[in-house]
Amino acid sequence: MDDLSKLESQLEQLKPEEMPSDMLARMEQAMCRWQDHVPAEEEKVIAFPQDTPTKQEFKWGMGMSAAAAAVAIMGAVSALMFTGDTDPSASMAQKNAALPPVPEVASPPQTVINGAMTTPATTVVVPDSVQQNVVRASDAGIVTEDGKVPHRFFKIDVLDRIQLKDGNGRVYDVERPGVRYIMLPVETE
Amino acid sequence: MIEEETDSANNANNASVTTKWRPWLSEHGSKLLLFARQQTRSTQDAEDILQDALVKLARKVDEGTFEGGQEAWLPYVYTAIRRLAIDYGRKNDRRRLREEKVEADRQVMTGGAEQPWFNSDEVNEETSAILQDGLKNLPEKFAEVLTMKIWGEQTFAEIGQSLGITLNTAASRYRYGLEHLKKHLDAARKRGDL
Repeated sequence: MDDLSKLESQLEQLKPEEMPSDMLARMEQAMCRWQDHVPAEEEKVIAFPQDTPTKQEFKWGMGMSAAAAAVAIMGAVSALMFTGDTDPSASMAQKNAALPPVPEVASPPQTVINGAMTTPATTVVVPDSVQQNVVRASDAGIVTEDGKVPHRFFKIDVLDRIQLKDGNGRVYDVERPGVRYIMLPVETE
Repeated sequence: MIEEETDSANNANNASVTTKWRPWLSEHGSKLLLFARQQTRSTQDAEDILQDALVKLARKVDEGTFEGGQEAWLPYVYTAIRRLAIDYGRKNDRRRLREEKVEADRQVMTGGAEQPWFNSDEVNEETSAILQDGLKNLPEKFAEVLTMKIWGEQTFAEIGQSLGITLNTAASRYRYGLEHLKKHLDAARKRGDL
């Protein structure tokens, strides 16, 4: 057996360090919940449909500025719905500290946990994180009123994921589907 | 939809989780972790890359877009680990530099002891450490072929496909890698380290 073959045999006797059981469990969990782990750059970018058949060019003017402002306001309103304050620069911890705790629920509704109906104990929870994902965007058509600039309606289906935490550190995941509408003026001249 | 994380719910979850991926992960996890460690500069990066690669596999399998059977999972994950490592290596961001510093600090605190890559009863600890050191100092293109061939049990054809090289190039790099390692061992013997 030449020297390289001897070295090869020696290397084969080495066994890779076993994956620790907690790491194995983490990897397994990640594989089962891959939807929660898709890298940001792989998230689908849903483009608005192009105008057909006549190509229209949008010019950035007062109309588009107003539309952009409307989208920004919509986003701020969504944030207000979850945090109840107007300071987007505050950290989630600061916002949670300022919030009063959610009142205890006297008769908590039944919920579905892993396919089984169950009635959880009363729980006081505070919001921990909020994530809004665009699920689908579709063209809902053009609306025209006499004498006014026609607007194209876009329907945006969103899915809000809210994580709530109780005093014991237990985490509750809440998913809430929603619909948003955006209007953009259509250039006609 | 509210998901409450209780012990019973966790146990139910674990029971359903172990039926799908655990057997395959238990069999191949250690060799994939070794490859991820060889491809990256820090323990944390290796774990992150490995997790990302496994998530990619899980997504494709669950979405029904994975081409091939279970026998193709391992080569796919090797390829994914390598590509992710290249992307990580290209990022010159604070996070990566911070992770490297953490790894360097960890080595200082442990007296220079590195995270062991191998665990063997047949080979003594000294030889194992020297081989690990030799593998780390090999040119990457040799080290990755060696790692996939010896511990990943991949064929030269599979290695070539994963790395985007020909079968003959894979075989050549394997041989050159062994020669480099042999020189490293011989030098250690001359120094009296072995």
